[in-house]
Amino acid sequence: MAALGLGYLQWTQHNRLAPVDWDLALVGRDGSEKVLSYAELLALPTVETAGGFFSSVGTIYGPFRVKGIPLETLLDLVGGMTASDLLQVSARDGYSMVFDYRQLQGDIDTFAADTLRLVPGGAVQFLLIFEQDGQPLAENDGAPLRLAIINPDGLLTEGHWWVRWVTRLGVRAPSPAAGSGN
Amino acid sequence: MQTQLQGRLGPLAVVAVSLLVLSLSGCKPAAREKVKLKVICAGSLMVPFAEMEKAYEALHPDVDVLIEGHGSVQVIRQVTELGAGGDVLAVADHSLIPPMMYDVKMPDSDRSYATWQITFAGNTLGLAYTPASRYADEIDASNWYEILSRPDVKLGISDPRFDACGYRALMACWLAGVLYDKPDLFRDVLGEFEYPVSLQVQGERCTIVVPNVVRPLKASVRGSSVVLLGILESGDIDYAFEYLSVARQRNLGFVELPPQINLASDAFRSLGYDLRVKIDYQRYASLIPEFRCQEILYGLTIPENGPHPQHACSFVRFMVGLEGQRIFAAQFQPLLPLVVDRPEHLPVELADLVQ
Repeated sequence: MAALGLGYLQWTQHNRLAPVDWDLALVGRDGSEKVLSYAELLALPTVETAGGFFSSVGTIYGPFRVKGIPLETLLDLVGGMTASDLLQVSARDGYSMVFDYRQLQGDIDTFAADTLRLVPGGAVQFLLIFEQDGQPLAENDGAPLRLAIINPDGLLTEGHWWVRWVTRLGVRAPSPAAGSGN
Repeated sequence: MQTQLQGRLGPLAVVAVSLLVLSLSGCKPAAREKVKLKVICAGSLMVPFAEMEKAYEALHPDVDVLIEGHGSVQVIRQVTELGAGGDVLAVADHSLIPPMMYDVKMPDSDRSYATWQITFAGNTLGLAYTPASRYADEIDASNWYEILSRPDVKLGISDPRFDACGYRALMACWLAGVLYDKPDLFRDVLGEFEYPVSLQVQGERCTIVVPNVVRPLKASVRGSSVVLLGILESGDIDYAFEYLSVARQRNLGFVELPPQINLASDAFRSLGYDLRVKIDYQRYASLIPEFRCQEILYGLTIPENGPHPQHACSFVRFMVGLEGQRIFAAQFQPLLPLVVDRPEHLPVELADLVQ
């Protein structure tokens, strides 16, 4: 196990490092599914950068040093996304979040870390992170996999995007609009 | 050990040595650890609850009140799904507590996470603005929708997928169309959406359907009230649908909307519709995202698995007592007569508080 490195371990609720037993399901827009083990995920190219977020009541978390896999890399394994597709990110606790293609291309608001004022045009990247500040993610931070929407210059993004305990990334077409449009 | 030392050095020397050892080792009589009372509340209650924390701790120095704010659904999930634990929960939409707590059993138990709630406060939906907002000197309760419909006016709402204030803003706009007999008001005020927000009307029942992704072409939609207030104060938008208490706490201007649409009471019922907002994506597996139009009512409960039930009752008594009422009033939070939905389940320590 030692030869595999820190990334293969996670903090348990008893504050011990233990091997990670976690699968990530990737579902393409045609319904095809690919399941990656944690070890397979960590064999993919990774990015190490800065990122942070704030909660709905304005509590700031980070910016941290985070390490993870670009979402684009993962989605390409199941055919990628087209401009009309949506991505649903689902988690172990029943939480999910939906993004459209433009958001994944960076159309996400960024905010100053000191004032929480909007800073338009901050570059963002979607990562599935497994390390924070050089350590495996803690359980409460979403171990072993968390969606992070980061800005390398230290700008923050909104916390509801940062899905913890990610188990599934599913690409799909938008639901047909119901009723009469407004 | 002590007997041997006494025999050789005498009792005074033993005391002196003992004191020396204690002082060198830094030992002190163990300080009594404070009870950590975790109070989880809706974001719109954060300001009065922060005051409540200080006042309660001054009266109860053995208690450390920890206030934690979230959206109301997340307030409940902290206890029911995230294992974070909590002693007192207070949410901005009382209707969330029965389906998410009464109907859900604790693991390996036939007990529910909660069995009662007290509704204790309300709020009023309206329009927050600053002196720099366009037409700030013109807007009032009679012309607000005309002002918001102007092409150069920027309106903000919080995202109805994430925030109760957001879906309540949609409800208010639709009700306003009925009140003023202006069928296009909803579209005129909010503008078009890239993924359509649709309306389903069948007789007296109307459902506003919010799509997976909310991308307005005219209005600004932001994830939370915190962000919305930030862009209002920076001048990026002119007006934002907000609660009265939040606007007043930030020293913002506030347009009070007519009672039929401000959701401060059930006066909306006079318009004759059963209105709902349905979110076309399920953010939480534990909550069907369809919200019925109701008056804004804040609810509180003590979770059945809360670690400090006696202290929790004491805090609730303080919160709804005279000092708590003074704090709420100073922070512009409208208080209502206390009502308990299931009095037979209320802890005896609280029984005298409610009708």
